[in-house]
Amino acid sequence: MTHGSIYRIRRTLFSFTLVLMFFLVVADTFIITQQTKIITREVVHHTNHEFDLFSKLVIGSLTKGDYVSIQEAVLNWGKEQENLAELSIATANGFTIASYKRDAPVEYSQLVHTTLPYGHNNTATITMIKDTSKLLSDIKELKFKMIGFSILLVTILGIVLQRVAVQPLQNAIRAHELTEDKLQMQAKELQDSNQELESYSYSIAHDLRTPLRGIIGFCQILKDESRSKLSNEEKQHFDRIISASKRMADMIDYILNLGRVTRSDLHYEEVNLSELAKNSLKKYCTSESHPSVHFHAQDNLITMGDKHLLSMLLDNLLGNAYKFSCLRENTKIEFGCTANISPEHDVPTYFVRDNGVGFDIQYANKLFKPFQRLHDDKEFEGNGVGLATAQRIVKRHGGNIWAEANEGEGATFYFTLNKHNRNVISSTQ
Amino acid sequence: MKRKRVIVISIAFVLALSMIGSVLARDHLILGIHPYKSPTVLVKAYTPLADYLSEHAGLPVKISISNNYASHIDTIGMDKIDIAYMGPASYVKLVEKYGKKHLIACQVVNGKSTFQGKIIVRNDSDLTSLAQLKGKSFAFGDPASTMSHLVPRYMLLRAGIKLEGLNNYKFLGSHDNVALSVLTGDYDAGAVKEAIFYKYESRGLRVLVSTPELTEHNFVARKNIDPGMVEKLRHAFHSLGKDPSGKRILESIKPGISGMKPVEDKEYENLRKILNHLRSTGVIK
Repeated sequence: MTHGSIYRIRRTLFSFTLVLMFFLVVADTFIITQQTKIITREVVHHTNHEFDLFSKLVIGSLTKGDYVSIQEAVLNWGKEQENLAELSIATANGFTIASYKRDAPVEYSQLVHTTLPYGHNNTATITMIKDTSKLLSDIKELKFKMIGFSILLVTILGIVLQRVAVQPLQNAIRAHELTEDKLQMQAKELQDSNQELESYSYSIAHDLRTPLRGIIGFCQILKDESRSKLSNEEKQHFDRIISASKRMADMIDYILNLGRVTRSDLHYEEVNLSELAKNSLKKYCTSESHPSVHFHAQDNLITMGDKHLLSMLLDNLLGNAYKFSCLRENTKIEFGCTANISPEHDVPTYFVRDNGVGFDIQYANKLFKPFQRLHDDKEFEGNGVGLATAQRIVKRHGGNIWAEANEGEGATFYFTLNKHNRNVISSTQ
Repeated sequence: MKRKRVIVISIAFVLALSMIGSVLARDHLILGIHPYKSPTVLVKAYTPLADYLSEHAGLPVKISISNNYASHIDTIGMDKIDIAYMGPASYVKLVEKYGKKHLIACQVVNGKSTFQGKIIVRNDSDLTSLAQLKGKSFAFGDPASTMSHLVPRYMLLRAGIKLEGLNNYKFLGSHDNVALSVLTGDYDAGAVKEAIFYKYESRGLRVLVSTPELTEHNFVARKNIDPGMVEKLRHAFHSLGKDPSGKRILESIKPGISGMKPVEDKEYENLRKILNHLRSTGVIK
């Protein structure tokens, strides 16, 4: 649930309201048209009815010769009928017996007139003009009412929908955001305490070196000065103390190195991986000293990254490749780049391949853990931190590292570097 | 309805009082008016006159509205009321039936104590004389109306035109209806009193012929009234047009009345002749 979904719901509601408004406009137009027709028909009917009545009265009076009553009727009718604008009765010779005309000007009117026979041989023309302004104002009022009602309806519906649909969603999002903030805070706390722990272990390791150096030094002095007094067995004991202490000092150095990889700042620059790989391998062997080693590095593999760390990464991977394949008669080590192997698309996947002893792929999960070794120390020397360091370097660059191998058939290590996302890189620490 | 009933009851009550009054020595005078308008309108119009007369007569004057023209003639004829306002034709009938009464005064309208009727046609009519009305249509007002029926009927008869000689005729009730019926073209000619002709003249009427001048409406007093009272009343009436307050009283009765003048029975002779002629020819009973 995000702001996007609120936007979508809002858009749906807006479309719904638009459709509703469209229907209301259609309905209003229909109702107003129909109502106008009905009102107009009623008014016309009423006027005609009134006119018929009046005509009968007039013709009756004319037949009786009671012209005065017609004059009175016209006067009274004019006074009583609010919407009568004009009324007149004229005979065939053009004489107007009676007429009424309202003073106020008439905006809209309806005219009714008829000529009827009466008496011996005469006709009378009765003309009536009705003021229909009120009819129009009634229709206008109806229009205002209908439009007002529609706007009110849409507004109420809008408010209700906002309350029913959008508000709960907004509340849920707010709650979600609060939880997210809390989680982020916890993650930050966790990261802080991790860093603290790391720097703590780094300083412990650092501090352990000095006493250890003392132990080794004094053991050596003691062994050298008391050489004549010591039995062979005692000398061996001294040697074991010294070698164990040296191993311990090495392990402390590796831990410190690993810590440096994790803690040091990254300095991004353009790095030619092909050159780095070639230089790395030279540290272990040259074509002159080891003519049986065939090394091939793909040219011009250029990326963005920390040159020092990437050099360490290739040192470790190529060092391993050489270590586990140098006993072959025909050693082959290859560095290159493949497409579409990586889980992340459009990111170059680099690889280091050898035809060495390989390893059992079921132990692959142990590969990158510090001090974990798949081979015996006597068989292949090592301290178990190379691949752990390699993994940390790759992770710091926002990439991934993984391996494919078969026992006795060599191994291939793949890695990616996500050069585009520096934020991701720094947050994976 | 209720109002009418109350008015009728009050009139009956006044009449009953007047009858008692005629037997006993009177302590008030009764002024009778014929019902040419609604009783309420008439009572209101004549109250200033009644108040004025009571001042001059020294007795209270009460107003009584008759039920109809015939009963009006009978009431004054039998001396049941003291003073009566009479139309010229009613006066002629009164004298004929009950003998002469004391003529107090006759009204002067716009300076004239006589009035006229007009036989009218439309402006565009070809008619120029009464004789040409033969075979034409004619509109009368009320059958009992002097100017819209009786006098014109007499004139038609003198011109040799009987009702049968007309193509078509009708009694339309009022003078206004007669004028309008001619204007609309429903009738070729009609008879109206002067005032109505002037009212509609501008709308397209002209006079075919005018009627003879007749003496105006009058006030009579009962025969057996105290002669001193007759003189008081005559003096009171004749003075009405002489000062503004009197003129206001007259205006209240009818707009246009400018005064009251002495009148004699012989001034109604021409009308009497006309009516006699109509009676002899069976037009009226």
